[in-house]
Amino acid sequence: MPHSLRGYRGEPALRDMDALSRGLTRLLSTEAPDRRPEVLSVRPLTGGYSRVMSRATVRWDGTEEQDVILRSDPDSSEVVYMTSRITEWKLLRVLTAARAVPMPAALYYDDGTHLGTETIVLDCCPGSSLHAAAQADGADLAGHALAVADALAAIHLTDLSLVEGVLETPASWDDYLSDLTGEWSRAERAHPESVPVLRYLGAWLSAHRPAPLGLGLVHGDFQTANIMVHGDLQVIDWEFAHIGDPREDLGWFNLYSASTSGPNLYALDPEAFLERYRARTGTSADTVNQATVTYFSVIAATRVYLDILRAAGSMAEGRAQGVMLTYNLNAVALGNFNWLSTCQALEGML
Amino acid sequence: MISRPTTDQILLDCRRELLETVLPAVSDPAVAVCVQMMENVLRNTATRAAHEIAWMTEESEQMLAYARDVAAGGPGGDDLAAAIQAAEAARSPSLHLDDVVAAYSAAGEALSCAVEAAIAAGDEALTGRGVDLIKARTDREQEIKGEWTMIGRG
Repeated sequence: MPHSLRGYRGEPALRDMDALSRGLTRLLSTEAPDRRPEVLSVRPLTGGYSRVMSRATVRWDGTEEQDVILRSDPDSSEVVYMTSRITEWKLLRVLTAARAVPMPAALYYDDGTHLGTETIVLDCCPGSSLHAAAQADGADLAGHALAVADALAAIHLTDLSLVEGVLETPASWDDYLSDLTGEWSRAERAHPESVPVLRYLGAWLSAHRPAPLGLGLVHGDFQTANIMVHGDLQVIDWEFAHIGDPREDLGWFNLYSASTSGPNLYALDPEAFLERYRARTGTSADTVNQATVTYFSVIAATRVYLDILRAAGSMAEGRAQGVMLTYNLNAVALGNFNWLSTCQALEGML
Repeated sequence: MISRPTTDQILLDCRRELLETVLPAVSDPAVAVCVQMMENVLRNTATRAAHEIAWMTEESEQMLAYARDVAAGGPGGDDLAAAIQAAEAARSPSLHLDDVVAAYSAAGEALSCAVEAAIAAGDEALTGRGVDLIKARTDREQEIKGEWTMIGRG
């Protein structure tokens, strides 16, 4: 998540590894002709639902071998989440150049000329995801939690002038939060039946705004499956990155961890986690605390929850079908109950 | 019409058949997940079939009464007045599902407008009453949901 439960079938051209190998060879030969690139192998990667992922081994100058990741757009009919590869590429380029954020280096971009679809080529980060590492026997969960807090801090401390012109900058924190909280109400009004709990949530979230925090770079899908462990942590999958309230990442990390398998590295010791984060970012407990993380857990759920609701609306209007969809109505019911309970629990804390 | 076995009994028996007869014969894991989801959906719909007309009718009256109280108390404006008017127009003696659903949705809109007005006015008592109605609604959604896990996900 924001991954759909819908299975990814793959864009046909991207399933042809030979064609992909030839296309990658053309791309690399164009981008780095002096290094005499030779693509030794290409194989598909599983686990990503929004983009098509492949891993290739490249030999440079007849000697040096390098593993790279290809991050490609799927066929337009199968796109679940509409994000821009060129924007992601521009962002990754400036972050790679600045070396301020722990992430694999972005290497090349193809607008589809060579690979048939927009593709970003990244350095491959060896090792396992933090999702897997945290579930291994004897995992140092407390250490992982602090490392996550450090990685988040590094992202949120990114100088926004670096991404000027790449990501849209909200006019102000107030405007930004108004837009986010208003999304609940807008989605409800577009739904084929009234859902009072959503209107209440929109009004409640707007009326109980936490103390503002400076806008910052937000990863947008910060979860353990998007963090690779190779010595330090490397953060991947930046397609949902935007400029917003950094606490969105904290809320999403908590929410996502609480609703998937594996330990919740935030909930293990929230105060230790937040103390580390505050120390690294220079923020205070007035703005970054358990209550604000909980508040932003609701905010961060907006995207996924409303996608499910919209799918239910499509079914009600005869534009969608499937048992998966009706089955997921239970997720809507669970969300309604949980968000209402969360807001009631937060009364007086913010 | 044949009223017994009731609709929920029939749905629950289909569910039992799926679990006891169909599922053990399914070897494809993806199809097995689909059958498990159908089992869940049949449970949901059995509960809805047994109660939804009564629940929606009962809640519609409560939501509309609350919206009228908020409007009478001062908070609210044109949106609330229009929503109340629409909800009153949607009321119907018909118990056909489409009619009940339409009245329920219109009453829900009146509730939404009323709660928004109460929050905007800082009226905690009226807000609390509205939240109680929403809570009752989400409680019933939980009753329909029953036990639920993310089938097919590790």
